Amino acid sequence: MNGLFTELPVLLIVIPLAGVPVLYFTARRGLGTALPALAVILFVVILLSSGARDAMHTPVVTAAGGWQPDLGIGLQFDLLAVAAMLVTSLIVAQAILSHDETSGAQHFRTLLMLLYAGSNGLMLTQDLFNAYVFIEITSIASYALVAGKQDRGGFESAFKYVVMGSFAGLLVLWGIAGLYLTTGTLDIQSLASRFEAAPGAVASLSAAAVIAGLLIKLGQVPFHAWKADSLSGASYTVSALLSGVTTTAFFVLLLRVLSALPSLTVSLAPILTTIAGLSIITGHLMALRQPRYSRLLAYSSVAHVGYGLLAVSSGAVTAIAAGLFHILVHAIMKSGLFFLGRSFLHTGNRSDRLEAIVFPEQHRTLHVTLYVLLAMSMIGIPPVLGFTSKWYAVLETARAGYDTGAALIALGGAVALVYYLRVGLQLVHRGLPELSSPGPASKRLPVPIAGTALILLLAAFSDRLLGFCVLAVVQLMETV
Amino acid sequence: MSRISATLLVSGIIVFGVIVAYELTLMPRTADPLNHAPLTLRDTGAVNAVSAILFDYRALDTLGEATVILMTATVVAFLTPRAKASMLAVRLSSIVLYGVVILLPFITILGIAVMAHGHISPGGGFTGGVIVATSTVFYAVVYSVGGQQSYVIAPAANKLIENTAMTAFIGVGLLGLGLAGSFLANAQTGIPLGTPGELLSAGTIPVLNLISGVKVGVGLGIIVMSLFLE
Repeated sequence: MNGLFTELPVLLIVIPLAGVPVLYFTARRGLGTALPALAVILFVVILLSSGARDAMHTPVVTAAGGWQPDLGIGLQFDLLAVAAMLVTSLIVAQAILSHDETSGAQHFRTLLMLLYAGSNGLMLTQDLFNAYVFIEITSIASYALVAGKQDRGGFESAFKYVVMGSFAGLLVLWGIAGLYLTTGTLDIQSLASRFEAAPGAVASLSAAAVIAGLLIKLGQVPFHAWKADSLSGASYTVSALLSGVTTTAFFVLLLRVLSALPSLTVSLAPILTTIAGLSIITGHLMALRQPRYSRLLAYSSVAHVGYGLLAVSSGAVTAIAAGLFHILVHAIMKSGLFFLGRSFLHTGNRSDRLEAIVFPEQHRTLHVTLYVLLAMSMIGIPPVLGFTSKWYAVLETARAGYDTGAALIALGGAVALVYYLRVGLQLVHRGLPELSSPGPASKRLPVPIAGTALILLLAAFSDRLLGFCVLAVVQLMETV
Repeated sequence: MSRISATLLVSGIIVFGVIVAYELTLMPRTADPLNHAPLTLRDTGAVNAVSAILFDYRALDTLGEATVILMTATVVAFLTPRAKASMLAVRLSSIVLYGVVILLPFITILGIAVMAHGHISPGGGFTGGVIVATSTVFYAVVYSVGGQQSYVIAPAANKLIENTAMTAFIGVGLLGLGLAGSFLANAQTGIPLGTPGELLSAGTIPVLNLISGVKVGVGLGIIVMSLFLE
């Protein structure tokens, strides 16, 4: 059915959204929510992969409701969306599997579906106001997920997250209003030509406000502290989602906005590279001195998003592709490390302080192996995918003329080695602590095994994966 | 926060506001945005251009916004503690008690009318939904004083209504997909647009108005009720 295919972008948003009532009605009938939620994701992935072949030639552009952009909302399904949504779907599926069947499961999975729908929308939309609606959906779902632990820490984290997130959202909305006022369009593609035709101070300021809002959402310096605060109070699964799914979605949207405004991107490049460089330095140095597992990983995310931003702001196509590639790989491995954190809970220990965390006795060797693999990938040690993605990021950034930036990315790995080694040595060398009440033993194998196996498998194909990212970026540049 | 930093913060916000206001007066209005207004009647059959934009041209945004309200309601209901209302231990006079009984049906009918006439007069689903929500809140404020009954509609029923409304919204969208090949399509499906200005006109717009009115009404109702119970 041809009509269905051209509607692919809308379906990718509506199916997770329809998952909300589906989960509600299946839960009412006592059917549980895990299988329907997984079915939603499976459906999305099937649609993604069936459309990928056609998107390879030309992006599928949809006018929502049959109204062409400017009158209505445009959505674009291209290789960028395929690559990013495959990664986020993987992480969301892992999150569904890793959540134990407890009382809050339905609530959690409902919010997860909303987060999924929102992030898919962010990655597909071509309309700035529509993007803002999806920013709202994604953000509110993630605030609620952070608060979902329902303890003091969770509420405090969620509150900080709400304050920073609302500020960023307001900045984006303000920028969108300014852009609409000066260019008269909300569609990213027509914005590209109209912005170049009439660049004024107000239009540039508004575009900068949108970019700044997105950078806050990505947790870049100087607005990086909220990331650690919000992740430290959230559960491990939620942290995995926030550092994997939402970060990827906002990064893709940032790429779309930046590629639509090439002249502004060139003039903003010094600022963007400075922000990225400071994020790399701050992220790694702060991670070095964090006493808690989640905070350490959160600051490391600040640095890794910095890698991506640095590569993107250099402006060269291959560098942008390398940055995108690294962000996608980072999403998989960072969420893997967070999912691994769930195993700490099986020892009955609720704290994530570094001197307290320990793997449970069951599957201990497997856990340690997984940690080593993921940490190697995060640091950038061959032969895992994290190494190749970082290698390309260094190489392409240097090739684009940013030697200092390339050196920063390379040096970042050295610092990361120190803190991941510190955590790793503790995990390996310490025996099980004396606990009054040992936690519930988990018979299930750790879920992140899927993610880790993927990282390992794909390392041999990383040149092809980078090639796919290059194609995606070329397509993005051409269609704008 | 010390007094100095608070003063600094407030003065900073004021200075920023003044700069923004000044910028706005300087702002050149060179843009010529596409004007929907002359097109709406032909394209959608709706007299109210705002409704036409909200529920036809940009219906996907509206689906998103209605989802935001649903989500906020769910979250607030989940997070607030389930205790009995205790703050309203006031004795209300019989004028208030009986006045509410007389007024409530009219408020509710007004809300429904605003929802149903969204495509031909100012208002629409969001406005009407807020009016309906006001009537439930009104009732709860007056009659849950003793703490006997805090909810007008039981939370379980609220959830059922919300999810049914969401299903209906997506269902209307899928109808458009099936008939015209694009999600949330209206006139392209071949649904008769009717005579502009009549109650039954403008295709799916009144249906979506009613659905989003129900969603907003129930959603806001849930939010306010949950905050009562604290």
